[in-house]
Amino acid sequence: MRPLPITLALFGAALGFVVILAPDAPLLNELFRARMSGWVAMAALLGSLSMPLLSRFGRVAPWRRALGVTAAVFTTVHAAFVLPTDLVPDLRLLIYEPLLRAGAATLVALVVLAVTSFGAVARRVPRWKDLHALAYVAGALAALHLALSPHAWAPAPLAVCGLLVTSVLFRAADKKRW
Amino acid sequence: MTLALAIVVWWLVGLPILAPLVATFLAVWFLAAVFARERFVPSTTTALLALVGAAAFAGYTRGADVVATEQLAGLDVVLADRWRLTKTPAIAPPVLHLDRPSVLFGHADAASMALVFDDTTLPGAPLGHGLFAFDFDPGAHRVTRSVRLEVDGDREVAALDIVSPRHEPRWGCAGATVAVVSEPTDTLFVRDGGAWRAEPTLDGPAACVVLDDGRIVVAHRYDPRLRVGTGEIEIGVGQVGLARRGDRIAVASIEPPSVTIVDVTTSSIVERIPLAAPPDWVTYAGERLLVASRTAHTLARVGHDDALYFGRPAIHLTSSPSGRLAFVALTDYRPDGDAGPNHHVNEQIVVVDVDAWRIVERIETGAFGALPTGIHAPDDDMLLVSFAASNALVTIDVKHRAARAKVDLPIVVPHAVLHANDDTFVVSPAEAAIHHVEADRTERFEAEPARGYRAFYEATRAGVACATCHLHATTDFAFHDIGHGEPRSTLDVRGTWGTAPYLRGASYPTIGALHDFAEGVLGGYEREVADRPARLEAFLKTRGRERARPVVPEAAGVDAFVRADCVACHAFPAFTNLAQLPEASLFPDRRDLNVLDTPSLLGLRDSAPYLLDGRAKTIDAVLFDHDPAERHGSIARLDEAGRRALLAFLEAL
Repeated sequence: MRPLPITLALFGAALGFVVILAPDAPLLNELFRARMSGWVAMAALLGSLSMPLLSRFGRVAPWRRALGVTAAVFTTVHAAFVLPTDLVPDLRLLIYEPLLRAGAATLVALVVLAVTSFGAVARRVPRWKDLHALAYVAGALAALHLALSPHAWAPAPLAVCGLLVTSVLFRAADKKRW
Repeated sequence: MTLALAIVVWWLVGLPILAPLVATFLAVWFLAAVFARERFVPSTTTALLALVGAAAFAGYTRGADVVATEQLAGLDVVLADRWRLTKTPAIAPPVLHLDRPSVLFGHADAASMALVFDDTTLPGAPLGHGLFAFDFDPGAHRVTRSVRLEVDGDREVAALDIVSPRHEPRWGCAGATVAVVSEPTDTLFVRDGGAWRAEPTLDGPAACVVLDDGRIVVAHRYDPRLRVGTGEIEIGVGQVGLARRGDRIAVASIEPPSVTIVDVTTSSIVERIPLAAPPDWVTYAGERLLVASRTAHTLARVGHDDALYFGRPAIHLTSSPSGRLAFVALTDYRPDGDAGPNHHVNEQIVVVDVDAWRIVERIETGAFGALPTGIHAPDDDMLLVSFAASNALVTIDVKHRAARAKVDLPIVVPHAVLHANDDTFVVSPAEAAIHHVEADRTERFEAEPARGYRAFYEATRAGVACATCHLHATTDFAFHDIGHGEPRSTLDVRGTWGTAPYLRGASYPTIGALHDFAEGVLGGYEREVADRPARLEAFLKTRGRERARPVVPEAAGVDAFVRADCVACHAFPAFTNLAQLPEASLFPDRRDLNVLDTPSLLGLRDSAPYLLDGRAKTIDAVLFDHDPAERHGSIARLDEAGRRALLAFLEAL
C-alpha cells in the first residue's frame, strides 16, 4: 500500500467534491474555496500530528509522512486559492497581518518538511528527526492562523490546540516508539 | 530539544511575533547539523522540561507583547460571541430589555421556538430557513425572574440576560409645577409641596409640558396616547418631543416624522404636519414652531423649507421667553457638512434670531464644561447650561459669551435644567436623581447609580466623551475623521453588546478595550477609575435598540434575503457572522488594506448612511447602486417582487 497517493487522492477528492458545491456569487465562491481548502489542509496536518496517538496500534510512520506531505500540498492549494483574490489585497499583508503571517509561516514550514520527507533527500538531511520537530511549530502556527481566521468555526481553535498539546505530550511520553 | 533552543533564540531576537519561530528553528537545526559532532539525544524528561521551561520563560517575559502583536487580546470574547451566535439554536439580541417592545430573532433547525417567561410563553413566528421572530411586548409578558428559549418543546436551551428597567429621569418640564419623565420605568416624577412623588404613566414617557392649570401633558414613545392630565388623546406611537404655546401643544413624532398640534381645551387634534426628517427637539419661539432633527442636523421652522443646517445634531434646543431667540447646543458647527480635523469637537451654543432666521451668535463652551446637554433660557441674555460630561451647571452671558457663575454639581451626568418659581432643578439619569440647586438638596430614586453611565459620559482631557459622538449611546449621524485618512460615519452603539469585535475595522475585541483609545488618543481621564472598561461594558449592555413600533418581517423577505446570499455574511439570528473581510474584496474601488467588520443589520432602518464610508444614503442604494461588481450579495437573482420583499425585510429589522 502506498500511503501518499492514497492520502492525496482522498483529500483531493474531498476538496474537489466540496468545491463543486461552492456558491456562484464571486465573493462567496472565493471565501468557500478558501475555507474548504484550508480545512482540508488542516485536517491532513492534524492527522499527521496525531499519529503518535495511534502508534500503539501499528506502524504509522508512513501514514504520518503521507499526511504531512498532503498537508503541505493542500496548504499550497489553499494559498493558491486565496492569494490571487481580493481576500489578500496586498502581498505585504503576508508580513503585517497576523492572520496571513501565521498562515505564510505555516506554509514555509510545511514545504520544508515535505521537501525533506522523501527517501533520497531525507537520507541526506542531517539530524532529520530534529528537523521534523518543526511540524509542531507548523501546527502551532496553523492553530494561530485558525484562531485568527474570522470565518472559522469558533470552537475549532480550542479543538486544534487541544489535539496539538495532547499529541506533543503523548509523543514525549511514548518516545521510544519513535 | 531543537524546539526548546529555537524558542530561546526566538526570545533573544526579541520580535513579539510567532512566525519567526520557523526561521529560528531552522537556524538552530542548521547550526547543530553543521557544528555538533554527535547528536545529543536527551531523555524524555529533559526534553520536556527544556521545552516547557523555554516556552514558559518566553511566555512570561514576552507573552503580553505577543498577545498584543498577534491580535490575541480578547480573542476569547470574540470566539465566544461568534460561537453563541453561529451555533443553533441561537437568539439575538442576547439581552431582553423589559422596558420596551422589541422583536427578537431566533435561529434553529427546528419546527418551533418559543420564549418561556415566568408564567407565559411567547411562540416565535416561523419565517422560514430556520428563522423565528419573537414579538415581545412588556405589557403582555410579565418577566421577573428569567427568560428561557424553548426549541421544539424542549426547554434545555440557555436563558437570555435580562435588563430590568430602572429609573432614568432625563428630561422634564417646568411651569406651575415641575415634572420629570423616566422612560424605562414609565414614571412621571412630580414636584408636589416641596417633595417629589412618582406616578405611573403610559409606555415610554419621552417628554412633558406643564399647563397653566397645573396639568401635565406627557408624550410617549411606545404608547399611541398623549396623556393630558388624567385624560388621553390618541396621537400614535413615536412621540419624542413636546412644546406648548397657550392651549396648543405641539407633539413631535418619529413614526412617521411629523408634528401634531393638539388643542388641550377640547382634547382634539388640530393639525398634523409632516416633517422632512425625524425630529427630536421641538419648541415654540413666539408663534413659530421650531424642530431640530438629529439625523438631518437641522433646525427647521415648521411650515417653511429653509432649515438651518449645522452639520452636527442639536444636543438640546430651547427658546427665550420673548420668542425672539432660539438656543441650540451642538458638539460642533460644520455648515459644510465636513468631518473637520482628526477627533475634533468644538462644543458651542448657537443663538438663532428667529425673525431674521439666521445664526447671530456662536458661544463656544469648551472653557465652561464638556457636553452642554441641558439649556434653560430665563431671558434673551442669560442661559443656564448643564454639562453632562463635566457635571457642572454654568450661567452663561449670551452677549459677552462668558460664564458668569459655575456650580459643580453633586450629581453626575446632568441633563435637563428646569426652572420654576425661583427654584432650579438639574436631573441626572445616571444617578436617577434630581438636584435642587438653591436648596443644595438631592432627591434620589434608586439606591445605586447606574453602572458605567458616568464612564460613558465622562470627558477625557481632550474634552471628548464617548457620548459626544455616540449621543445618548446612539449616534450623531455625522462624519468624523477618526484616523482612517477619510471621514467615517458614527456607529450607533445600542444593541452592539455581545457582538465582538467592535468598530468598522474590528479593531477592538471588547467594548472595554475602547478605554485604551480614550487613554491613548484622547489624553485619558482626570478621574482614576480602575474598572472603567468593565463599567463601559456594563453600561452598553443596558443600551438596547429602541423602535417605537417594532415590526415582525414577512417570510417572503427572509426568502429573498437567503436567495440573494445576504445570509452568508449577515447570518441569522444577529444578521452578522461577526467576521471580517478586506474592504477591497467587497468594494473593488477600495485599494487600502483595511478590513471591514460585518455589521449587524438589526436596526438598519435607523442607521443611515450605509456602507463603510457612508456612500449609500438609503438601503435601496446599498442594494441597487453600490454593488456594480456584484460582490455584495446576489441581488441580480431576485425578480422585482423579490427585491421589494428584500427591501421591506431590511426596513423591518
